[in-house]
Amino acid sequence: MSATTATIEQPRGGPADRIGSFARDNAWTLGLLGFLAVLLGFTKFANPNYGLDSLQGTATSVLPLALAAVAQAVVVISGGIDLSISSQMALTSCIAATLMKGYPGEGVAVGIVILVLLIGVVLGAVNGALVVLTKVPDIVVTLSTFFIWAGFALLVRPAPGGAAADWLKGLVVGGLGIDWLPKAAILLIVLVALIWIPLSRSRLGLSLYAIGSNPLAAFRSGVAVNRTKFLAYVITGFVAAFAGLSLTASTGIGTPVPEPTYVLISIAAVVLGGVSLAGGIGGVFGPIVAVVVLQLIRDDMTFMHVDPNYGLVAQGLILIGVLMVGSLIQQRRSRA
Amino acid sequence: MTVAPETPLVDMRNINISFGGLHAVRDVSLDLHPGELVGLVGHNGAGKSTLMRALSGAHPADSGEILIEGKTATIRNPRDAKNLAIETIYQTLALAENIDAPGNMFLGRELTTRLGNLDDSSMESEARKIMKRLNPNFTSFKQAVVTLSGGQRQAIAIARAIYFNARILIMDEPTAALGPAETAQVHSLVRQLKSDGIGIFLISHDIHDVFDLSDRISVMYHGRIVATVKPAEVTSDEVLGMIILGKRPGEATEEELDRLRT
Ligand SMILES: Nc1ncnc2c1ncn2[C@@H]1O[C@H](COP(=O)(O)OP(=O)(O)O)[C@@H](O)[C@H]1O
Ligand SMILES: [Mg+2]
Repeated sequence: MSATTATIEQPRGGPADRIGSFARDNAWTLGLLGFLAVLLGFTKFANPNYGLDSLQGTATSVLPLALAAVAQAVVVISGGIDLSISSQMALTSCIAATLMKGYPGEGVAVGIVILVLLIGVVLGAVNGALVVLTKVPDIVVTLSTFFIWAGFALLVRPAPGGAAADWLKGLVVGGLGIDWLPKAAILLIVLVALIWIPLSRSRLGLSLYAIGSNPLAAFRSGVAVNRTKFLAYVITGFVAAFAGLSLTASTGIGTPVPEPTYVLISIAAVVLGGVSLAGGIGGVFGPIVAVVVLQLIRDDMTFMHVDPNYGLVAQGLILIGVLMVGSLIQQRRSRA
Repeated sequence: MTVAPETPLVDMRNINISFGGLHAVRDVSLDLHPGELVGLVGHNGAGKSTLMRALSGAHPADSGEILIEGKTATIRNPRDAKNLAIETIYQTLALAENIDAPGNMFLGRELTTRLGNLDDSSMESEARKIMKRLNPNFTSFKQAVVTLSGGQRQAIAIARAIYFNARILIMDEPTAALGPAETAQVHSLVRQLKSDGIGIFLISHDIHDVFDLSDRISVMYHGRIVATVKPAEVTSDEVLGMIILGKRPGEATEEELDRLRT
């Protein structure tokens, strides 16, 4: 089969139609963006001091969560789930902070970053191999590895500490030239552009959606289902390592105890961002917007002096609410 | 009986398949010639789908031999089968619901650009070309197939088979989920494919469809083939008798046949 010459057919009109179908395909994400705008307005109202420069702080604190949500989105689209993401982040962050202690030269620090990303790939590969080979449900496998990676993190760093190379910190803290252009946001866009866009345009990307939609149909179509599932976890581990590195970069240290809310937030963001927990639907842009929405809700509650524990309650309620609405939509669709 | 001069397209010999203690296919031999349609009938659980899964690569046979155009073939998975130009059309569960029609048509064998990216525009224009032939009313190329009707989905599955130059087509109850008009559409497609020289195995519960479309009919009963007959040489009652009793017309007693009629 050859890549035939591209006879680009435009059956139903030009750019306007293109935009129409873009809006239809991304209606959920666009709605979420609208909600985010309203929420930003509300944040300004709740906290008049929240200015354009506050966006920097929001972006820096959101970056690890946004990357965690991207990592989770990939595996959920393939029909799986990864509960070990937050301890993958803790472990990779601790390894990076420990190796960077004593501020080695910049070249060495680059080597450390590459090594940590490779470790992320290995952690993902272990998750993927266990899921594919043992046929134990993914929830059980990744809940178990959650504790294993967390244990390793404590072995690497019994207490928070270590350091981050200056250039690494410089990547995520502050603005790019102008105050309201947070570096963390730029970095996120670059990483997503380098990882997700090529992936979603590749055969592997289509296979991820296919095994998430219907593994049997994918198998019958000749898709290598197990290999695809394995690679989904590998990519998730790779992105989770970026998330861990961004933790080290934004805090300047490694913290061995995984933040338990990260997993909840990554799943809540994925669902709120329009990815179906049943697999096969959604992308990574919605989850990223959803992470920002969830973060602002938490910030607003802080500004309004709501007990932070209610913040957790609110996020749990949002997750349940979105899941209920989502399954209602799903039922409607399958009845139609 | 006329002797077919050419080597058969498919020659399955002494196929056996068991699931634990259940012997689902017992020593079955069956062949298929180019442009021929062999109907497979039998009651539920007779082993029709299991036999065909050995050919489609979904569940390889425990023992026996499969020859494709006279050559011994090793079919371990659906990809092996597809490489031998064997395509399968199922009643359900053959499409990935959240992917559009071109994506489903090319799933597992995607067209790519020189850089290795998915070539969406080529896949869509190829899908349009083939659908124009099969079902000119089909225009939903950008929607997830979950939103399409059963007939439209089956047209996509058939388009996929044809696009990749299937020479051997397995249809496992392809119209069981379709309405009468859509079933008629699929039937006219089947005739078109036959005249293109494609060999077809058709599993169906509808005896009349099978009589209409088949060149030969093989009746399965408890994992064995009771008989392979030509529609012109038997009545549909005789075939029903074979399906229910598992005996050839001559072998069934008058009493058994009487019980059938009541
Ligand atoms: N994957 C499987 N595991 C166990 N038993 C199976 C499996 N597939 C089919 N069978 C059994 O094999 C027998 C033949 O089934 P099948 O080929 O589906 O029959 P048919 O298609 O003729 O209705 C049945 O008894 C069925 O229960
Ligand atoms: Mg069957």
